[in-house]
Amino acid sequence: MSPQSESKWKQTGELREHVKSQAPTRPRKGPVYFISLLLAMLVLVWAFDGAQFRLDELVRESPKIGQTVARMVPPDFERVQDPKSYSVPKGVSVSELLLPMPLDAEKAKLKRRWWNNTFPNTIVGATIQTIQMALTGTVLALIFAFPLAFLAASNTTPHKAVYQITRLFINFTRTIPELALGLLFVAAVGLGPFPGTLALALHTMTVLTKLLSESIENIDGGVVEAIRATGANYFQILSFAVLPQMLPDLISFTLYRFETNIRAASVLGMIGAGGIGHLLNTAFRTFEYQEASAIILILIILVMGVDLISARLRKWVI
Amino acid sequence: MSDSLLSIHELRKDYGDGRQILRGISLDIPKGQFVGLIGLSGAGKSTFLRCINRLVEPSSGQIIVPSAVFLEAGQAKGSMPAMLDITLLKGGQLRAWRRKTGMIFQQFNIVKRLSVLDNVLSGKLGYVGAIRGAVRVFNAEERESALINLERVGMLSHAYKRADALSGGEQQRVAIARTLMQEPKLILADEPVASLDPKLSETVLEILRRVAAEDGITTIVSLHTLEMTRRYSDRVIGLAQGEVAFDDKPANLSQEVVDQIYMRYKQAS
Repeated sequence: MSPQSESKWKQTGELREHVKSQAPTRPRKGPVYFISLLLAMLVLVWAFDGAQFRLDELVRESPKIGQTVARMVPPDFERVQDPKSYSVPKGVSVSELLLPMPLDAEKAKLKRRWWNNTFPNTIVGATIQTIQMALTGTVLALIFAFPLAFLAASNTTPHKAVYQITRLFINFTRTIPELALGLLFVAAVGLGPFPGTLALALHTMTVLTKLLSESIENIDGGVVEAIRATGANYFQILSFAVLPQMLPDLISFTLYRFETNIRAASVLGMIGAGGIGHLLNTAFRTFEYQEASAIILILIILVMGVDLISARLRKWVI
Repeated sequence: MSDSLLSIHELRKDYGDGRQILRGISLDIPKGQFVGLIGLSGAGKSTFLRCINRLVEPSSGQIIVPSAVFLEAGQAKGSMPAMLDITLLKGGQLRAWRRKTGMIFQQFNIVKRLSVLDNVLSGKLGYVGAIRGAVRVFNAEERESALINLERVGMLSHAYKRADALSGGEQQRVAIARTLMQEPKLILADEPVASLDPKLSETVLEILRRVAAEDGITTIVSLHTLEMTRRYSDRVIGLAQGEVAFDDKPANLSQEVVDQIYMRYKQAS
């Protein structure tokens, strides 16, 4: 509208009169709105009460929380540095222990025992085990999620029934938290990193299947049509039309899940399913707060490092 | 020239909700003809083309093709009947027909994240084994023929570029090279130049016409401008509301017919 015409309708006031008389009446908030608001507030009060949240207690106890945190500084890396805490077995040298080299039967046995039983109970060993668990869990999950995703995507599934069954299975399994899965597998196969890795793998598989199937559903269908029109069969269509389009998501989601699994793996140790969480739990229970903060610090550096590396990797691949 | 490649009888397509897209199309298309297909959006051009290679399932009717179309050079005819009905083909036979029928799309539909050469090679998928195709392994002979077909559309120098680095006109030329890899007897082109500017449109249509003539490929092209249709086609088929409204040489395409096809009625003055 030009300024001229604007001033014209302002002068006449015609449009203003028109809008006044023709505008729809503003909807009024009915009693339903106020009753819902009241109900929502009641639910909140009920929840705060159930959670035993007391503001006065928080204020009263806050010095104690401060004291506990104060007891955690400075972090104590004593056990990380002290060679004694790695309890190198007699008769084997450090280099023989760490480097892959041929050894006689007796030494090999000692070496294996140290790697399997002693080293994972040190802070450095448990950290490495946490990474190994996350990596193994993620790769296992990907191996199973990759084919499942095609079954669970509406545009690549061979049959509607297969699609429904896969979705149902994935959605059901995904509701079980990793810790619950960990408890289940610990009960089934005993303590150690193996049940923890299984828990990570199963949960990650369900998440990756869901994410990847959604990525498949979002691809450009025109390319699929074009490849089908060349006379290609089902697997050739997947390879040429679907896979190249979903590849960036596949890499991105897998790296993201690896980061998440590092975090998850460090919690799983608290229920005895391997990883650094076990040491963290022990440190708190024996009131070794400074050592606990050292472990937390290592965890923070680990997670940030993995974040950084995977961000670089993602940029490089995509 | 006189023997036909496609004999279409009473081809119909309707969707479950009662919408009739094709209402009984009967046509005879001789070998080597370059056919222009015109009509309004919704007249059934795309559906008609996709019924021929069964990307869309026709509701009824026959598409009769001489079975010699399926044979490779030097292959014995064996016990095949002389004529085959495309609407009855299944599984491997249907893929064999699609392999012999190239399709070109308005949106090019090439795989953006793969190289130009890989895109062209994908035209060979109907010929290679399932596993070899799925892991994208092609032999020297196939790679050479892909490079030759790239040269034929003037895109040889772009062979190792990623497809998303190309312009629209270039992508469509790659799509033509991909189709040539199929060694097609028939090319179906669904608005191949609708996303291109007039100059690029001419380039693409000229290439399409040239390679079709060189290889003796029968071609059906749906187009949205009358000028290009008149210039490039041997024969024009006009569709209106799912029926053939015009079928003759482009020279006989009178203003009256055009108005009828595009449903332009003279307004009472």
